[in-house]
Amino acid sequence: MYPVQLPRALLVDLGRARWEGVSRNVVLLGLTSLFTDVSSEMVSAVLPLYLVFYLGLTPLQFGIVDGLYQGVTALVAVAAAIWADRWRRPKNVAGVGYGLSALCRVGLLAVGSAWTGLAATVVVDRVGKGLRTAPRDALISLSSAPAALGLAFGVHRALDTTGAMAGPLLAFGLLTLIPNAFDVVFVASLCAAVLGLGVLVLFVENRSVAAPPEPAASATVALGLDLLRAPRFRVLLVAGVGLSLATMGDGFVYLGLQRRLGFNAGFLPLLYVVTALFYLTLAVPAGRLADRLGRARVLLGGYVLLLAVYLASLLAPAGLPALLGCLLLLGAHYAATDGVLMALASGVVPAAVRSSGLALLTTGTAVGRLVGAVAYGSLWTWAGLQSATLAFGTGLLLAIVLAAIILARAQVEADHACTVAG
Amino acid sequence: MPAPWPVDARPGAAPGPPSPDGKLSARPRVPLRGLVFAGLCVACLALAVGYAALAARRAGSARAGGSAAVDATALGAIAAQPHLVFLSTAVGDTYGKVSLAPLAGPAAGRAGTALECERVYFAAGRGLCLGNNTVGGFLSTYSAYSFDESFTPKTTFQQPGIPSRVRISPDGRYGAMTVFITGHSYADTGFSTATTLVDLDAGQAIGNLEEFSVTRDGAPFQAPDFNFWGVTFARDGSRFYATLRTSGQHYLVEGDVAQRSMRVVGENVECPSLSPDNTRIAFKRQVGDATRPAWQLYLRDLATGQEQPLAAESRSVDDQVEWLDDGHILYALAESGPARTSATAVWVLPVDGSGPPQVFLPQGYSPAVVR
Repeated sequence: MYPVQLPRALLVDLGRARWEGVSRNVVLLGLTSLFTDVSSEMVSAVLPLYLVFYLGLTPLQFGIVDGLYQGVTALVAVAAAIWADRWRRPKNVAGVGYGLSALCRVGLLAVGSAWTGLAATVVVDRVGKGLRTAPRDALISLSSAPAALGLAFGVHRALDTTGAMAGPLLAFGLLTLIPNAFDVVFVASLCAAVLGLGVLVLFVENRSVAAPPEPAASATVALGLDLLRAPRFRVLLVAGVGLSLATMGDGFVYLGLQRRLGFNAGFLPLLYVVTALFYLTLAVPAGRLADRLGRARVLLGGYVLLLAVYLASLLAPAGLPALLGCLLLLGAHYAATDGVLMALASGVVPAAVRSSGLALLTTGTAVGRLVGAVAYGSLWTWAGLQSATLAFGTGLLLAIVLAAIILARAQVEADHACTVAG
Repeated sequence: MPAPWPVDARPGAAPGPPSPDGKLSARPRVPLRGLVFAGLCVACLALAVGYAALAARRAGSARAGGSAAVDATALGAIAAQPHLVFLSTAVGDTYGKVSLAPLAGPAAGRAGTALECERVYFAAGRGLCLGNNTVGGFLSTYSAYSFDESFTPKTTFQQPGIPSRVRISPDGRYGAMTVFITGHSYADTGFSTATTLVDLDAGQAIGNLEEFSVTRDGAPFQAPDFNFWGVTFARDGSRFYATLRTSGQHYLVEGDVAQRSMRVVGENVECPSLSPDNTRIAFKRQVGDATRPAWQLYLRDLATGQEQPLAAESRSVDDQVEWLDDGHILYALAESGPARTSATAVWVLPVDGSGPPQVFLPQGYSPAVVR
C-alpha cells in the first residue's frame, strides 16, 4: 500500500520508543510476567543441574521430567481459556495460574529428592503456565486500543523477556556466592513469584466484555468451537501452524551454528541469552512496526528472517560477527512473530472468546514447533545436517508463500473494528 | 463462582471495553494496595536475604575445618596397605574431599586429602578427578585434572559438562571421562554424553570416542546421535569396553585405544565394568517402563555371552560398578531422605549370589580399589 514514502518518518517514530497508547494494565501485566519469569527461569536454568547432578537423576529420568515440562502446558491451555471466557474473568483464571506456579516453589523445597514428587511439582507448575498464558494475552488485548495491539504485545514481551534473562543470571549468581545452595535459589524464586502474583492481584484490572443478555451455559464453548469454522481465524490458525511446522527449534539452530561456525559447545547457553537480548530490544519497535505496516506483513517478514538464519547456518563464514549476525536475525525473528501473531489474532477473535481463540493458536503453534523439532531431529539423524536444513528451508519458504497468499485472501486484518465490538 | 480475591472494587463488576485511546478509565487510587505491595516486597526481600544468609553460614560451617591440615601420617599409613580411594560425604574435615580408607575395616578409619571433585578414580599411582565441588556458579567450568600418588594435581583437562563416569586403565596409562552435555539431543532427552580419552603419560587428550570408528557385524556403523559412556579398561592397557546409545538402543562395544576403533559385541548393556580377571563384566540394565526407570545389576560372561541378574540387590543401582575382588562388587547407592541430608554409601555384593548387599563404607561414593 505505502511501501516507498514511509520509512523515514517511521524510523524516527520507532526510534523514540515512546510507550504512548500503552495502557497501564499492559505495563502491569508485563511486570507480573517479568517477576514470574524471573522466578520460573531461575528454576528452569538450574533444574537440569539440580536433578542430574545434585539429586543424581539419570538423563532418562531427566528426559521424562523435561518432557512433562514441555507437554503439560499445551494440554491445559485450551481448557483453561474456555474457562476464562465462560467465567468472563480472565484475570482470575490467570491469577490461579500464577498462584499455582508460586506454590510449586514451595513444593520444590518440600519434596526433596523424591523424583516422582519433583515430577509432580513440575507438572503442577506447567498447569499453572498453561492456565495463565491465554487469559493474560486476552487481558492484554482487551486492555488495548485495536490500532496499538502490536505495540501492546511488544511492550509485554519485552518486559517478559527481561525477566526471562534476569532469572538465570540471578540463579547462577546465587550459586556462585553460595555453592550448592539450590534451596536458596528456590526461596528467591518463590519471592519473585509472590511479587508477580502481588502485582496481578493488587493492581491489574479485570477486563471482559459486557455480559451477554442470555448467558447460556455452553454459549462460549459453542462460540469457541464456532471459531474453528470462522474463515479468518481458521486461515490464521492454518498459517500459524504451517509456519511453526517448518521451524526447527532454537536448540537445533544453535547446534547447527556451532557446527558451521565452530565454537566451544560450552558457550551454547550464552546464545540463548544473547538472542533474548536482541529479542527484548526489538520487541517494542517490531510491535510498533506491525501496527503501522500491517501485522501479517511483519509476521511473514519475521519468518523470512528465520529463513535467513537457516541459510546462514549453511553458508556463513566462521567468526564472531557472523555468529552475532545470526543471533540478531533470530532475536528479530522472535520480536516480529511471537507477540505480533497474538496481536494479529486479537483483531480476528471476538472479545467474548478471546482467551479461547488465543489459546487455540498458542497450542497449535506450540504443537507445530514440537513436531517440527522432532522431525528435524529425525531428518538430521537419517539424512545429515545439511540435507535436514535444506529441507526445512524449502519447507519454510513454501509455508511463507502459502501463508502470504491465504492471509491476503482472507484479509485477516481488513479492519480492527471487531476487536472491541466482539 | 466466588473469586479467591476481590476482583473489582466497583459495583457492576465487569468493566467495559477500554476507552479508544487505550488508557484505562479513571479509577480511584487505593493507597492501601500500594502499602500492601510495599509490605509484600519488604517481606519477600527479608525472606530471601535472611534465608541466603542462613545458607551461607551453613555452607561455611559444613566446610569448617576444611582448611585443617591434611594428616599426612594417617594418609601414608592407609596408602601403604590395600585401600579404597573415594569421595567423602561425611560432615567434617573430609567433606567433599578425595579420601582414603583401608580395605580391611573401611568404616573404621578414613583420611582426607586436600583434593576436591565430583568423581574420582585411581589406579597404578595415578588419579583422575572430574569436576570441581561448586555446582552451577559462573565460575564452575567442570574441568578435570589428574594427580599423582602424593595427591598433587598434575594436568588439567578442559571438560565442559556435568561429571558422570571416570576410569583409568590398570597400567595407569589411559584415562576415560564421561560428562553430560546440555543441548545435544532431541525432544526425548535434554542431555547427551561426551566421553573423552586422555593419555596420562603424555598429559594430553586422545579424543572423543565419537571420533573413533565403529563396526557392527563387520559393517561400518554410524549415526549422528551416537552417545558413549561408561568406559572400562582391560588389563592389557589398550582394550576397553563401553556403552553406545543410538536410536534409543544401548550396545556394548569393545574398543582399542591404539587403533581408535570399536565394535559392537552385545546389546542392552550400560556402564560395563570388567572383573579383575577380565573374564566377566558387571553392568546395569534398565528394567521397568520409561515412567519408572530403574536399573538392575547384571553379570555377563565374556566367553559365553551368558548374562544373569544379580538378584540379591533388588534396589535400582545407577552407578558404574567397581570390583573389590573377583568375587565381590562395590557400588554407591543414595539413601532416601531430604536432599540436604541424603547421603550415599558404598555397598558390597557377592556376585555368586551367596549373600545380601551390605554397607562397605558409609558416607562415601565414587570408590576405586587400590591394591
